[in-house]
Amino acid sequence: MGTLFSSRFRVWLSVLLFSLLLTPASQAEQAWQRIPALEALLAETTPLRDGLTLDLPFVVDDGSAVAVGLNFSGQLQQGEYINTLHLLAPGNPRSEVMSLRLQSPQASPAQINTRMRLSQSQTVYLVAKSNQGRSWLASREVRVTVSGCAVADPDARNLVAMETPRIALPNRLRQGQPASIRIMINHPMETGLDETGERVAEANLVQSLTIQLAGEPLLQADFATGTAANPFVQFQLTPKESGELTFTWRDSQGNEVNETRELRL
Amino acid sequence: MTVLTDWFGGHLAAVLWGGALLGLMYGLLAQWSRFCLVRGLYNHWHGGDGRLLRAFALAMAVALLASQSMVQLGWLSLERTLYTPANPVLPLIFLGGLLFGVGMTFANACGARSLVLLGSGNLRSLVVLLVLGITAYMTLSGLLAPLRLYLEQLLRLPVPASTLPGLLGSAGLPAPAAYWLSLLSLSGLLLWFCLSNRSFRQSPRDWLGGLTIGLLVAGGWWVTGVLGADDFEPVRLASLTFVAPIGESLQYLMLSTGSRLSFAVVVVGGILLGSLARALIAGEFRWQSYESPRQMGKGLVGGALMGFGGIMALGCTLGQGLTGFSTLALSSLVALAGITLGARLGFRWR
Repeated sequence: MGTLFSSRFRVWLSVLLFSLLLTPASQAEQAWQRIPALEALLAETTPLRDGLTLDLPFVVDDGSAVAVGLNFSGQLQQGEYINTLHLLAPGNPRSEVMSLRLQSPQASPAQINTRMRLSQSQTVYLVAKSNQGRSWLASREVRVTVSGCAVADPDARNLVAMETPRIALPNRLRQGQPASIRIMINHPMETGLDETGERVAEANLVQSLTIQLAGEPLLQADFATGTAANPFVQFQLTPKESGELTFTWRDSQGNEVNETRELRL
Repeated sequence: MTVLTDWFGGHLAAVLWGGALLGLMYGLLAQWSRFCLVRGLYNHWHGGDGRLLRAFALAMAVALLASQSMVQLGWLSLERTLYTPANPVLPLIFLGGLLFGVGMTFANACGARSLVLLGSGNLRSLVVLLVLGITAYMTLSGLLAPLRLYLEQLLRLPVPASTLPGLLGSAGLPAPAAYWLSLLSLSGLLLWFCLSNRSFRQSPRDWLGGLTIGLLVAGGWWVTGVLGADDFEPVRLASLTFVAPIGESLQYLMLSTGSRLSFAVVVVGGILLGSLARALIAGEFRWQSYESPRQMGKGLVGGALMGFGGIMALGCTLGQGLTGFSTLALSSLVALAGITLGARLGFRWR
């Protein structure tokens, strides 16, 4: 072997092989730049990767409602906080899934749960932005298989307006202790699109959920075609003081549903 | 219920613990009572001993009565389960049952029995289970899924209802009468079939086994439908069934970092542990393997037929025979007829 390859040749060969190994990895790293929706969101910034996670299963057999966890636990600077989260599914007919605006430090970017639609196998992206202009990016590849035993809800089709708002607060709330709040409303989230993304009917969507605590904005969720039917949001609230929580849903037909809950510490 | 779910740390965890416990109990009981439809049918048709078959019939009656009692008490609703789709493709379900029936005679055990046998050291069952699980997922979402969807389109016939009471109702019977007539005549017929036999009544291993396994089916509905009830994240209604869950368990072994533990998977795990425990305690644990390539070939074909047929039939001997049957689903009666006919043919061909 020694006569066949000189030692210098072997060094060059290993450099070449090593760089070949790295090429797909660096390409994958930049894949998001080819997605217009993400490029527009991230504009000129280079997103960080550490600290933001997107919790999704690898394989999904019912793409109509996929439980997804959004979690930020990264390093923040003095006075910096996460103020927006955007969830995108570029493989769906429309890539928008949901945007969350955290309007108070009492609403935590850790352990947010919701449910999304996935029309086919794809990479799902999550973008988090801070008030100081820094951004984070997380991605997860999900395979969607043909549905085997999905039991469709026949009643959902008859449902046209928002119905049965539900809010679950923990039994015990303590000042400064994060507590999980679950919020859901019944609605079919009719996209009006067929499988190819052509418009075949009028869209009928719950557009937003806004939450206020003692009159101050706390969180706003903007839903889109990628949000699963019966929009569901779970997030962590770290209350500073007692007050009234108000929840407002608005749909694309101009309806509004209001609910209030007393928050007692 | 909230006390119980809080104790487990949430309804999802409660469902998983409940499922594991159910699986464990099924493993113990089925290993002890040798509960098996294949052996039951064989003994009945070819051995003149109907006790095991009657144990299965008793389990059916008990599962039906116990599950419907919970419905009548208002604890849960079994109207919308996997077994009662809006428009069941009955010819495909029958064909699936037929293939499953042939497969279980070739493999000499259905999916649930194979799990119990594996827990007792039977490595033939391991081969059958691996093939069954892989074929099931191939049919559900893999290479064979397009064939399944094509057949579904091809064989779709309009069906007036998806349950037996619904069918009687569409024939003109008022709804409550149709319900009670189906419930009482089916359970009465099954109870008469098992209890009229003296040797069955005198064999506690058979009647106790059938009785408790029937109760476990109702227990599965209770775990997913009552413990798992939640306004925000309801657990999908399910009970004991063993075609898709075996595939799902294999998938979980391979993808656990990217998937969530489910009721079906913990039941499968529980059965393996339960039957292993009972086999060790009773001194019945024996390593067993194939003795000839021909025997192994039959096991492979049997496993594949059960995986493919079981998915198209929406369940196996337990999934359709007990669990689906307890919802009075039309698809279960059709699948059971297919499985029985398939077994009859299978015994002749093998």
